[in-house]
Amino acid sequence: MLYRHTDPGSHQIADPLEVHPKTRKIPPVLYRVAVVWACILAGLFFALIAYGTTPGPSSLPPTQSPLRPASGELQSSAATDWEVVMAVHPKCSCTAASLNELNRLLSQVDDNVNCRFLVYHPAETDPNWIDGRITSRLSEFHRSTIQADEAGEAARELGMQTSGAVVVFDPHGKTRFHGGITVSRNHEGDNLGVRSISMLIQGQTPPLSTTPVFGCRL
Amino acid sequence: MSENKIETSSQLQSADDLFAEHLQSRQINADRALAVVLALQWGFAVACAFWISPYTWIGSQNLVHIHVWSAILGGGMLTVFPVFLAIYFPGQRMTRMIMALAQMQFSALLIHLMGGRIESHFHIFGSLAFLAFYKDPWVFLPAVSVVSLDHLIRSLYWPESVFGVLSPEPLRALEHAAWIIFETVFLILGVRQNRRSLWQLAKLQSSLTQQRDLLEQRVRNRTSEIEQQRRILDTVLQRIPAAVFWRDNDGNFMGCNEMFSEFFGLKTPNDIIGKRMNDIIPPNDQTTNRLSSFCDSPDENVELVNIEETLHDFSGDCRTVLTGATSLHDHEGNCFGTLGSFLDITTLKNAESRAKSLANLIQESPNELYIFDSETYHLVEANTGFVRSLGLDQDNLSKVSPEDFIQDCSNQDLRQRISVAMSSPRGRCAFDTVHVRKDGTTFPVHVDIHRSIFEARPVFVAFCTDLSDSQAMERQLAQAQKLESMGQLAAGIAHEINTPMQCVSGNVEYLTMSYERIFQFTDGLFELLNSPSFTTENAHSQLDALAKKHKYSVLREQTPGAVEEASQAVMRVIEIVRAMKAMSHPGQQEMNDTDLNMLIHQASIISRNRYKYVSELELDLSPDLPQIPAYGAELSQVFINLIVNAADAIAERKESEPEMEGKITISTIQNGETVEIRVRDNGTGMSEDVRSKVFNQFFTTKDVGKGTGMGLSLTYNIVSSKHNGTVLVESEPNVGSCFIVNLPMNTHQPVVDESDANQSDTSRVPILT
Repeated sequence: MLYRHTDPGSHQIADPLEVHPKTRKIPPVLYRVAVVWACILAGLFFALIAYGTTPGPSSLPPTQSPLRPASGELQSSAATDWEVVMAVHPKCSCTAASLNELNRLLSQVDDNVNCRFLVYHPAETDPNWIDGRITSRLSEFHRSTIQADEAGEAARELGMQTSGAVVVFDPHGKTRFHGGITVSRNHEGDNLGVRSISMLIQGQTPPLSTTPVFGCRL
Repeated sequence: MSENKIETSSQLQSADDLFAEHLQSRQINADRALAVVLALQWGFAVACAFWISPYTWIGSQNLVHIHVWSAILGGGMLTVFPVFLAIYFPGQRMTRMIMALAQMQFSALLIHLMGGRIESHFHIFGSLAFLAFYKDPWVFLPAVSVVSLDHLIRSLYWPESVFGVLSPEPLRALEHAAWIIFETVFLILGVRQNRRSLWQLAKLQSSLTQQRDLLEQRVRNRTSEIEQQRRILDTVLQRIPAAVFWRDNDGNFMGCNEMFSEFFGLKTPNDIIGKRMNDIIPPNDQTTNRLSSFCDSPDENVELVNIEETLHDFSGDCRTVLTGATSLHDHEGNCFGTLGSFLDITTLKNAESRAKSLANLIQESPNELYIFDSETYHLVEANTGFVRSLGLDQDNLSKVSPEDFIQDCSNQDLRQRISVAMSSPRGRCAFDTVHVRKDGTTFPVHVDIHRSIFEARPVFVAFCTDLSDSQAMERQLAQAQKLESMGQLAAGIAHEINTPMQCVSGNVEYLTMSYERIFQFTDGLFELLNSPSFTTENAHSQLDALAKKHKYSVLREQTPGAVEEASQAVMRVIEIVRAMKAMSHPGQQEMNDTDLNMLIHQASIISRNRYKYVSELELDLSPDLPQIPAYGAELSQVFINLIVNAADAIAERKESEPEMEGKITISTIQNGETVEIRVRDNGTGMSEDVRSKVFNQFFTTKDVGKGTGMGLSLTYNIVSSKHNGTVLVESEPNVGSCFIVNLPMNTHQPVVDESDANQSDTSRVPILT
């Protein structure tokens, strides 16, 4: 046979550059779904921001510092030192942002600031209840005093009902600032509380003497 | 637009398509990649929420933190819908817009979950960079819009959450957006560069593809041409009515066609590959034929053309083949083998030999055959029998036409006769005529002409049969049959003559006695007159006595009657004799006006003795029947045959039905231009089988010795051939038969229709049932 049958497709080879994307057009109903989806997300974010920016309860602090050195825990401090008292709920995750802001504050001012942390301890609970990341973080602050606050009584005496709330006493024991040092719950960043305290300690006139507090209730 | 421009436009169009395909392909990949990233981010967000803020506390009581729910639900919403679009509708612009929205909102969610850490804000810039994979600048629009809108709303309602102050500077909000735009601008530039590169790639690919397609098209076209040529060559090889093979210079077969393989008993043509000549051709063939010799030692300058050889095929049959061979050369002219072929012409040779034999048979046949042109009617060819019969010169045949040797028939007459006959489906013309020899003598012939092609020209072929012998034979046969009839009727006729002759004899005897008495009376009368005793007184008594003595009164009364009776008997005899004379007349060569009624009457007289014992004969003859031209003696025989057959049929029936009364009725009547004679009987009748053969020669249903089977055959021949009439028969078993003879009143020489001539004797019999 002179003629030998050959497969007509056998000589063809795949083109490496050839692309044939397979896609489908989006049906119109999905456009409406997308709008609903975006609206729900917008609402969710609004709710989240609203939750984060809703301040916790607080009351006016006494004009003079009522705190006396606690037995066995007080550190000596000079009469020129400012004192920042912060109510701390050892389980509140929002307080971590407050501690970070406090740390940032302390880094801005001189070392004439003492800190006192009133660590909330519920009544009739194990003394170890307060141990955790927050409590261990407190020990990293210099010139600080950590004081267990049974049932939050001490904090409440200073008008603090929310974790992360601070009260600033000048070297004369006079109350100069009270409020929160975060812009919202668990949100770090520049805020009026830190700025006001910083200006106050540096002898400037602060824009505010009180700010809302964002955190867990004591 | 010039051709180049058209090509360029087409190429650009193709490049656009390729660019769109590439771009969409990459966008689909980006969709899928970002879908994976979203899914991972969802998990990461949930992990962050659980790690950073799993609970919110109110004193010693705790609740699941809203961040956890936000991570699960919000992250889920940010993931599920975009991933669904990425899976089912990848590459669509809306998909990537949703993906961009989701990714930027994920940035917001993660920043929120991570407590607004500065580091977490880098997620925004990473996400923007990721969106660049889409190579679509529009995808930055929703991304930047989300960030800008977030900042705008926050600056309006919660400025402290963004800037840390309640009253930021007016341009502070724009600063954040500016950084986003800064990155976005560079990303867009990068996207444009990527798109440009992709476009260049698509254009290059388009060009390559077009070149490739062009090349492939050329290859396909060329392949198709080669394929077509191969198929043509293969078809030629397989269909050509010759065995073809090709061998290399070493004598090995490289291939052959099917005819070659079949000739040598190979299953397929491929079986020949690698074989040598002595594998398939017996040694004696190989050594004797030139084909194998040439193939074994091909001469480049010599070709073997049309050499007649003998080969033995696989079954051992010796075949005559016409061989040819030539050497094969490659494109450089080098001989690389031999191409050979042979054509089996055994059948052709046999046919040629047979055709020669047939031609010789026809040429040497004593019967006449001639071929004449269908237009000019000049003879084209004639066999020896024709030339010899007519005494023509073989060399001058082309100047002869049928009118030169057919008596009283011009070419025009013949043309008309042929055209009429050829109009029938059979297309044949047959007739009896007379040929005239060169010396003027004539002889009867039967001519059968049909149309044919001779040497590519339309001709008529005429086969002629000399009827001289057959007509003489027919005449002798007719005469013999007539004599046979006469012989069979002789006894009856003798009886018919005997009866009146006895009457004559008796009356003559009586008259002899009468005239002796009359003479005695007259002698006595003379004696009385001379006697002296005769006186006037006693004369009366003497005469009375004499008259009484010789019974004169009886003689006077009976003698005229005897004379009259004898005279009538003599007339009867004369009538019979006249009828016999008319019938036994050998016949005339020409037709004469004939009184059919008289012929029928005479036939009834002659055959009376055959029917008078079994039947009555009733003649219902038309008195106004005109005389018609006919052969009287032959028609007499026809009528006698019909009457005798009718009488025999009645007699046969009476054997089984003795009480039946036989009756033969003969009627004549004029029907237009014909005269119809009906001979009806109420004999045994005939079955269909007998009826179909009744006119065949030598067919008879009578006992041996009673009939020869020639009567009705001759009847048919006399009526149809000699009088151009017809004989029909109606018959029904045990009812009777009726023979209907139609004779034309103006008879001319009949033309024998070739269809009748061709048919059997059975089928040419006209029959009515």
